[in-house]
Amino acid sequence: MTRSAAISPGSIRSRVFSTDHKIVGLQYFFLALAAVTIGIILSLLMRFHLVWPAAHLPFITGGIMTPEQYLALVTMHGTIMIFFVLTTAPQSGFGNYFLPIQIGAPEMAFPRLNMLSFWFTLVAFLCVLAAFAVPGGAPISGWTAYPPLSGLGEITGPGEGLGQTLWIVGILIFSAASVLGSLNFISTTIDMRAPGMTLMRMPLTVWAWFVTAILSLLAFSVLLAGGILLLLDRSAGTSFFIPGNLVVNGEVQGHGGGSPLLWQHLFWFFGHPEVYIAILPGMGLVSSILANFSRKPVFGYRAMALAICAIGFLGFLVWGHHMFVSGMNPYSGLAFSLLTVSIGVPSAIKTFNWLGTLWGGRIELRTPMLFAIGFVSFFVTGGLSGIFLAQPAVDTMLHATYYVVAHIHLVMGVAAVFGIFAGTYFWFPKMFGRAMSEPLGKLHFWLTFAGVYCIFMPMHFLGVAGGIRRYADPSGAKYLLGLQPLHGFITVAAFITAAAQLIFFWNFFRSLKSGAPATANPWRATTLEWATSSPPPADNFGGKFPCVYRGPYEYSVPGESSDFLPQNFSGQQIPPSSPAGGGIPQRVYRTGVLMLLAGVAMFFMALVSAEIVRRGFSSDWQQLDLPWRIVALSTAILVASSVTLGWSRSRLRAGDEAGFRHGWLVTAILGLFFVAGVGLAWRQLLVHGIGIASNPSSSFFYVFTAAHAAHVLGGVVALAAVLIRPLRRLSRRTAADVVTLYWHGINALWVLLILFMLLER
Amino acid sequence: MNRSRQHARGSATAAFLLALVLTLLVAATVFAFAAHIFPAPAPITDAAVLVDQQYARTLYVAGAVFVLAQLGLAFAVFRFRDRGAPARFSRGSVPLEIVWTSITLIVFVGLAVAGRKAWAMDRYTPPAPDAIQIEVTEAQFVFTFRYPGPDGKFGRLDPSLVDAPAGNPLGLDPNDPNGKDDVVSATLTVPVNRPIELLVRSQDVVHNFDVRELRLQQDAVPGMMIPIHFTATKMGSYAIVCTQLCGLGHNKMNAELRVVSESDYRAALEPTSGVAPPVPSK
Repeated sequence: MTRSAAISPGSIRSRVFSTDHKIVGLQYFFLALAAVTIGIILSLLMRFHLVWPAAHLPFITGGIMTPEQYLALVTMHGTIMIFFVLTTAPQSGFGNYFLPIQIGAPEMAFPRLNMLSFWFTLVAFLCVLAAFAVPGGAPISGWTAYPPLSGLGEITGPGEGLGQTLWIVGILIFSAASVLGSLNFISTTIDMRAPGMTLMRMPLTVWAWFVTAILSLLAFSVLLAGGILLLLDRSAGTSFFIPGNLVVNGEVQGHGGGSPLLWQHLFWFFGHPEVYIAILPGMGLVSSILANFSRKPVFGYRAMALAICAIGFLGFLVWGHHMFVSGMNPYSGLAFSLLTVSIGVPSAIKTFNWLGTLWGGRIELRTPMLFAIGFVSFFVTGGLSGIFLAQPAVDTMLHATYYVVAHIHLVMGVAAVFGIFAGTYFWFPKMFGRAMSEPLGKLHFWLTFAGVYCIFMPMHFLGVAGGIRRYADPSGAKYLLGLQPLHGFITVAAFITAAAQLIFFWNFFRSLKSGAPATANPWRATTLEWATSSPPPADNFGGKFPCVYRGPYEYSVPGESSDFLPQNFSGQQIPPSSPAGGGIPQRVYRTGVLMLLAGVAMFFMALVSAEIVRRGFSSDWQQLDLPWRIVALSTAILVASSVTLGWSRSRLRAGDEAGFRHGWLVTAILGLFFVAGVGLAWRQLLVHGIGIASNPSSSFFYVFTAAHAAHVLGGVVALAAVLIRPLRRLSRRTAADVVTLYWHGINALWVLLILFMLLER
Repeated sequence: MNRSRQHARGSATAAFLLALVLTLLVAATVFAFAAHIFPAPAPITDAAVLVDQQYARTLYVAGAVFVLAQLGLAFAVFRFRDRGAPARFSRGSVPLEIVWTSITLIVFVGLAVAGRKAWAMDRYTPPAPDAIQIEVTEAQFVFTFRYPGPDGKFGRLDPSLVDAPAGNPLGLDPNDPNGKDDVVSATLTVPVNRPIELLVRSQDVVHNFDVRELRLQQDAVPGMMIPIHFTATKMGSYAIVCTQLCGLGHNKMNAELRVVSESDYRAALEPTSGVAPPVPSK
């Protein structure tokens, strides 16, 4: 089998700024590889410091690591690993590469948006890393960034000045990139499946990427809202999260009435779905690999698909289990507890079904299979420690101890990472047309499997004995010294395990250069990516797009001569190709804009919830004297613009080009008038001395109107684009439909916002 | 499918090794937990005993699942290694799924419900009406405890008066008569077998109040005054730590909880004992 070029040879520019989803996927993957290297180094510095806090380190000014430097390491380690490794590699890396191929599509729905998402993510990464280099250094508030520690600037500690600001900005850029990326995944999965690829024939990887993308869309929209509010508290004098009468370093702070718990609610409403974003793709992949290397279908495929959906859905309802001792209403604690243990049910279903897949199989322990089995083992262990933390009475003992660190690392830092390893070993031949070394892969597995259990199992005991997390050293309470032997053991295991990862890097890069050539289907697998060459051609299938005739895991089907049936195998010698394959259908744009509106709605719902909570938290709420005349006029203008837009579209349908263009232009101008109206309303308030920081109701008014106006301006740009420069793939009819949907959606949002402001008087 | 015997033998070794490692994992884990290595210190309240009991219940359930799942994995990997025979085709079993899903649901929800009492005792039931109220103020990186004194009333605090170097870390208002008999201390001294209500607050960032032996912790949130309560049944000296990341001094932020006899407690709060209420300087 000859190797065809993965990407058509071209200029550096076309390769670096490629819109080919395979290139974008690899870019994300290598970003994650760089990030995990940095993240591991940070963790080794932390582990070293915990055992030898007084050691002289050559690269630190002053020689000895200070507590704030340790805390900066903690913060950046968590941030880099969770965002730039676990949210990136499984979903944006492998998902971008393989989702279109596994559903028989030539491309993602929005290739240029996809490319943009990657570059935003890279900028976000550099922005976060830049925090190390500025005066004061990286922030020390943890990846959770609780205000007021993160909300008051430098006076709360080193790194809380520019470092924290860069961190927040970087995370906001990452959030925006994730939302944009999720639009691609959702639209592609819904609208671009090959003929015969019904939902119930999708590989579980596709199910996982799809549900994860929905989680991403909704969760990161909320983080965007929270992060913007935190930035405003830091720089505009608002008090969303900062209460009054704070005394920091002897100085009374000028804020008032904000709720630190509001940040925690917003953050964890994002934060809990985030961890399912990190693990769901790995779960889908493990199912596929277990089936492949057991030569059996996935046990209970339908239940597995439903479990992915259930985990995704329930993941939005449990965020309070991070807040049992936060000062939250204790009755909520019971509610969150019951919901949290309920997530254990679909997770248990998946575990049983993985065992069921192995049962009666013909198991071949190649490297991807070893890592998939490792995933199951770690997910069981890590998931079970979650049951302790899910109960508030027990959590009262274990909260913020190393027990939590054990739990989160076993499920994320180990299980999810084993998913990434499994994916790498499994898909390397497909992506690069070369094989990785099996012996090195197996050695990597054995050392890592044993190593990470040695690192994280002892942490449970540390936690039960009262070892507190994020402690730079044991110089505080005396009992901590008695726990040092555990820390010593963990640190030694950490260094050995980290060293073992060098085997993986060596194997990976050496095989890239000189691995044995790989065939199209070295694992004798059934899903569509194995039906094309290794690596796939630029359009994924060389012009011969597949039709799908069967489910994704037809292994060892009785009566068949082969122990596997590819999904595109029709029974004929040469599988017929799809007559309609190869394009991007116009309906993806409709799906995309509807999903975008869902994300925007979620963003504004987060702000509305924030206002409701903030209002109830403190007695400093002052009813804002809204400039009602201007607001009413602006609303009327906006509603009129929807009318003119509707008229304009009817003119387009009737073929009246001039009428269409006039109506369209009028709509855009009305939109600009609306934005001007908002500006006038602001001017009116400012004239009366009411700025964004004057009181909480004014803060929210400015935030709501600014955020909404920004979306209207975006709509105006889109309107102009339809008239001036049509996109290559978009018919003007589709573009007009899509922009109309967006415009009406944004206007409806404004009406709802006004209603909300009226109702809460 | 033909595969060489050498390949099959290699696979048998790997299967055996994996099964062995998983079994060793189970053995080591069960042993370590059963041997109570690095145990939590003994609980000193009845509520803490309930917490320990719920922890133990959860440990038995989780432990059983852990053992069964990891050994199940080990067995499956070894028993069903490639020995030449084709795999047993199966798409699954709906009855089996219903059974193990129901069992999981009942067990997990049952566990959560069983833990209700421990949480309720902590959080739903208020303290006894005669509980001793003590205010806990946390700031970067210090615990300060305040007793209301014989009048039972806390004096007014004014943030603009906060001046720790001058001896007024809480900002006590010298003009408020209620505050004249307040006792401010760096140590939390309580009498044994008396209900205690702690009013937890923070001056700057989110902190936390945590005593292992109480099996109780509470975040100290600025802008809020959060009550928790306990009744200590064993005298002794216990560490109070802050578990919520609060800045560079986070790990050094600790204090002492002293549970003493009734008479020692009264003596500790007397002016003559040396723990004098501070006179806030102008």
